[in-house]
Amino acid sequence: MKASARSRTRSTNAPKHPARTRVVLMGAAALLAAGAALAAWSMLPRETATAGATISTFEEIDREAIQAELNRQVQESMMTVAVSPVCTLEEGGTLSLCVMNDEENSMPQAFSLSQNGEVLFESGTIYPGEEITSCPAPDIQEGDALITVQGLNPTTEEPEGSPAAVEVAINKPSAAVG
Amino acid sequence: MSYPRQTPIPKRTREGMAAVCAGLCAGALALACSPPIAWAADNEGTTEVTVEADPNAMLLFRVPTVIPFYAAPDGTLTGPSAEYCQVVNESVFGIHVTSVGVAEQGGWTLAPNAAAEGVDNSMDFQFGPSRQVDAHLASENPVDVSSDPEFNMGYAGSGLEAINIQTAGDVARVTFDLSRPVSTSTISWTVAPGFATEA
Repeated sequence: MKASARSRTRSTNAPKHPARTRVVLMGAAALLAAGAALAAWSMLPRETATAGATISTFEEIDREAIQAELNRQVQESMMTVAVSPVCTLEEGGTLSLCVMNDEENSMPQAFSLSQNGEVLFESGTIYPGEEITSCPAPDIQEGDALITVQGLNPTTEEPEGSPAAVEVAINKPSAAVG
Repeated sequence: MSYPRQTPIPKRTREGMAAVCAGLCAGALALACSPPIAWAADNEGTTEVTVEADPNAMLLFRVPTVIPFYAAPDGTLTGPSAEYCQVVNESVFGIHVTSVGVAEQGGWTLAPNAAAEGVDNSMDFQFGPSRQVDAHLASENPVDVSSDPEFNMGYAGSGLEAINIQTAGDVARVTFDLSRPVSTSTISWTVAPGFATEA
């Protein structure tokens, strides 16, 4: 039917609604809409925890669902750390190393290099799939050091979540045998 | 039975032969008593065999950046199942956790016993393969677990590459809104190649 024909038919055949009935129908529609919105909100996934150890309260859901949600959150937070345990001190105070943000990670990373409790270098953002193969470290000495990898929020690139560190060995390059 | 008569050996010859025999016996005796290394010095050598990791080999592992807890009305915390809360080695060699540190966040107090602390927003929790790490202690100084074999992880594919982290804890005198997850602390895991060494 053409729209114009449909409207003419409605205007002649549709029943007339008194004002009270219209109010009731509008109220019912509003309640229905509110109910649908509440149902949709309750089915939304819970806000994912963002950092370290987090706490929230039980809702009126069974224990299995609680456990499943906790397990989901911890699994989603997993981060791969990839660091070469051996670094080489090159001429001019440059340190050859390898810190890689695994391409499967869902978050950017940054790392810091420290020795004897002193931070000697802090990197910029390393995106998934990228790696750092050298950094300036003029004050680092041969021996043990620590590379600490920190996950970053994908949007703000601020530190988020617990970091992880790797003990590395700082070596001088091997002498060539002539 | 009689034997044919032998020609007698002259005396000088007998004395010479005796001297030669004595010399041979003395030499044999000396050789038998000498240290083997002296005997072998010109016939054997030693070669030291060493092994070290390929300097290009990466230390890879997966670690949870969040350990979520739910708080019951009585303050008891429920954490994730241990088999989901793991540190997993993905390296070609074994690794182990050497130390674990905890840092308070968000105004929470990590206490030895939250209920007895008497301070608002107190929390105590324990974690590890046997829940052997106390968060309160780890917040004061990183806990040295370098000699704890429970923190060993075998090479990837060994079947021993993961450690399960069990958790438990309590909160008390909570004033924060817990209707959404709130961060209470961060856990820093330090890892090194190889297995734990005895203290």
